[in-house]
Amino acid sequence: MAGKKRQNKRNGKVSKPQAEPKKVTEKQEDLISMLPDDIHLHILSMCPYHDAVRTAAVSRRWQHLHTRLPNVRFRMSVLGNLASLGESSEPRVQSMERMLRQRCHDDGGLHDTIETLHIGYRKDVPFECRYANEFVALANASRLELHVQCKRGLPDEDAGEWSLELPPATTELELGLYWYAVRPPRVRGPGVTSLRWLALDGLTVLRPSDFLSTVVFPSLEELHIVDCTLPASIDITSDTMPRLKLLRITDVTVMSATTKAGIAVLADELREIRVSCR
Amino acid sequence: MAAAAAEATIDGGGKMIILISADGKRFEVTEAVASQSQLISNMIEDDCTENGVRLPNVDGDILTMVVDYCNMHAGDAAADGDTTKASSTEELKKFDAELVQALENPVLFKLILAANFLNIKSLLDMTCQRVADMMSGKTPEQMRETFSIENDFTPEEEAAIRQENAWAFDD
Repeated sequence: MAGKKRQNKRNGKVSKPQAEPKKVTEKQEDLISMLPDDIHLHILSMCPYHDAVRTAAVSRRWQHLHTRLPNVRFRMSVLGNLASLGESSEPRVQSMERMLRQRCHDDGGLHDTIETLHIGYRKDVPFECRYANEFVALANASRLELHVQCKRGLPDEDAGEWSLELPPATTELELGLYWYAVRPPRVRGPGVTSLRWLALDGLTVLRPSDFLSTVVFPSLEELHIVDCTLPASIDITSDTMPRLKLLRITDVTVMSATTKAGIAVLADELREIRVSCR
Repeated sequence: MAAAAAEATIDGGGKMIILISADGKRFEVTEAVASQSQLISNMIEDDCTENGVRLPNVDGDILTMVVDYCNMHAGDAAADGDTTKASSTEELKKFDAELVQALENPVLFKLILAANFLNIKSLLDMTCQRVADMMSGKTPEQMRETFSIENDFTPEEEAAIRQENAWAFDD
């Protein structure tokens, strides 16, 4: 019986193509390629980014469209909860670099601006960090999203110090530091003065000496701290964030049961503070 | 003035407007329904809908679908509290899903062009999303097949493009 059923299904599949020659005789027009560029871009912006990039190989009409998309997303390699999802591969990351370099350099600065640059990479893979820094500088995006992971069990749960050079155009920064070993970076560069929105998300350990309490962000208006771990109290004050208007603290924890730590807020222009915990 | 306002609430849209398709079909709709099109909304404001609105690049069968869509969605643009007129959100979702799922290639693209020309953002987004869903996860060959696109690259050119953007082709 089961065999018969399966066969019926197969028959059903076979019978389908019979209907198709009719359509072919009507001569299927390539209507999609006739749509104007702005509609193509609208459609491509609704696709996952790597699917949009793949359309480059469809036909000449599509070859360069993806280089005009405002949002660029690269995923170098990713860790799942327990194991790696896909190997880190330098040739793969190099091909991302070639693409980005072509987009940002080849037409003498006439390229379409990158609004959002999103990079997912691993702090414990040195070449990924190197390329991530390069991509950030090349893209000069107004919004930067760095999602940084790291393998478990590094000595002292420390993946090492690092710096993030904010390019001049950056006004929004989302830093997802998803493991204790990924330290907050030293944040510097021309973007520090223009940054208006900052979110720090992940299990990362936030120390009083970290950039959040020591670097001056003259334009910062909105700060989100999500999931971070505190070993000691930190300060958020007008000295470093004179324009801060909104502060949101979500699910922040302390290092251990005996840790006594808090966040001291002393901000003159603060209008709204939201604190929530699971 | 007051009378006009009263009338508007009774029949849910006030004045009627005639839309005329490329092939001469006429559709009578309320201003509220028609003004979901930003193009027509602007024409209403400029008072130039008196003799009907000619839409020279929208065919009758496509305009039928557009008018159906706007009739269904007239409720959500109008007063929120008007529960008798406004279709329920559930109903609308179902209508949209069925409409968009049933669209085959030629009609889908004509509808996109109409939504773009008439400037109806929600319809444009919905139809473009349908195309995006049809493209996602496909290889270039499958995309060409799905949309009857002719490959005008030489094999060498195509290989070079794949090589250039290798990261997007390896998963």
